[in-house]
Amino acid sequence: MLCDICHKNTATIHIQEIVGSEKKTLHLCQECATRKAQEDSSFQALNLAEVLYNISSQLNAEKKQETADQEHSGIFCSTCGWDYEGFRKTGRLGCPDCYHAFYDTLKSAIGAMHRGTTHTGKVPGVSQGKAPKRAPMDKAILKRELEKLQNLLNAAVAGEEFERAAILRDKINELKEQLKGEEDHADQA
Amino acid sequence: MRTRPEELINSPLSWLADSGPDDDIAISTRIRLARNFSGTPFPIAGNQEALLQVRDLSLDAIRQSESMLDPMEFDLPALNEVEKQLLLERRLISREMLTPNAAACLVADRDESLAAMINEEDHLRIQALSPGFQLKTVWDRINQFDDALSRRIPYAFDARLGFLTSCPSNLGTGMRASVMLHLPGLAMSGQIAAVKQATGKLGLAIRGFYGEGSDNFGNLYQISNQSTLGESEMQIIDRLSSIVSQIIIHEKKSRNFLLENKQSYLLNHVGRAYGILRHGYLISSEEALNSLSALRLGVDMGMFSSVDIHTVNELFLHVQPAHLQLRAGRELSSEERDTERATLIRETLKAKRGR
Repeated sequence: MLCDICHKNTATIHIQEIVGSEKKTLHLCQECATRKAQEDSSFQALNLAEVLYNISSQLNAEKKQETADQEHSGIFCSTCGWDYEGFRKTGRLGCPDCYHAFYDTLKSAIGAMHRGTTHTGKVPGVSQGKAPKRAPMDKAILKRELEKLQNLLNAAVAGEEFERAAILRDKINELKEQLKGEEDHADQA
Repeated sequence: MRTRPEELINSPLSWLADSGPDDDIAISTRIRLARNFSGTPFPIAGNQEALLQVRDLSLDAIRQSESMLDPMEFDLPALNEVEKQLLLERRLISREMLTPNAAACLVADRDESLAAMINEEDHLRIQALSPGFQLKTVWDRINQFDDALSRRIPYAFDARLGFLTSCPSNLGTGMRASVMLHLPGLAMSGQIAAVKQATGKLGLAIRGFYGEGSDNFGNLYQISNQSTLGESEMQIIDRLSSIVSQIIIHEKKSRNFLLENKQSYLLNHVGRAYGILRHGYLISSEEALNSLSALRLGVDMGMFSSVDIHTVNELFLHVQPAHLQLRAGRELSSEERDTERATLIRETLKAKRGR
């Protein structure tokens, strides 16, 4: 879709206005939206947060976010205690191990931020001819996480929270696979 | 923790005072790497004890690495606001470091070409800064420093995600490479928006050096990579390099166009700016930066034989608020700063004329 103002660039910002009983949608490209925001004071009332919100407000994205919030709200990092709420508020993680605890939550965001999803650059230790140090998301951490989830699962079953239990069970299975992968990896190394 | 920030005022910054490739348009090249200790909470979530330990281990590692000829150490909690602002103006610390943090620390080499921020957003942010446009040389410098530190610090690293950072936007290489460009020609011919759009499409960002919303102050722009994961350091640097080269070519073309087709406009622009700088008694920060930009353009184009480009470069730094205040030895109101700024510029240019 082309921008409603310049008719040249692709529209990436969609702003809904209610005029009388009619709902109007304005489709703008990044540049025209910025220019309009500077010129038009009524437009300025829409602060950046709102404009950004609008970018993602295509209904699907919003729904996805809601389910993501529900699904991820109980997740926390067992090393530092950082939780999903903390990540949502600050956009930051609490410690290196958080990347393990929040990986599923972060996967798509990481993909959107970067040109790839796998590191191909420098590895510490390699350029000095030493073997790279063991990655911090190692077996011990996975095992600790697994134990924690197992306890949560037991509690959920005891409390007859079966929906929650099912989510936890899937999570545990996933971790077990990962742990197995790590072990295979260790065998090869 | 011996060095006092005011000692820095008259110490020349290598990246402004020395010559470098393409330094008529590219003022400086910087590469910074974000690194963290494995198994240790990031500064945002860490307790003070752990962060103080990170600080001490980092300081030891930096000292032992002997990567700096004459390292200066600054304990951030011991500095006042103006002193911290001075370090910010010299690009030694980030805005994040202005917020109180008991474990925050800075180590910088005397010529300020190499520095390490400890307990910023990440445990370690190391940077190398050189004059002109020389990404590969700067990369070699920071890469060596990083190697030396990695022999002493267990970095948080994951085979898939690379270096693990507090914000996912720095994952992978943890590298932000940037070139500061002076683009008065493109600005005067109204082409900055086009340049912005083109760089954005290539995963690079170009923004006004003095922050958001101050795009045209001094016509100084910083172009940097946005993505840090999925490409190697050299791939990122190569792409940035080729775009910067293109921008430099276009800036030169714009300048030549102005010189050939709008000569009196160009001479008027430069001449008036020189008049303000040479004879003004009250100059705001914005007016100073914009006039210095015009003067720099004039110097680049050979209109002033008595003023050299490094003098103008250094004035860009010294007209900023913390530099003016530490030079005066006291806090100055905004109007007092305008007076001090005008005096400093007048006297610097007068001294050059006398030679």
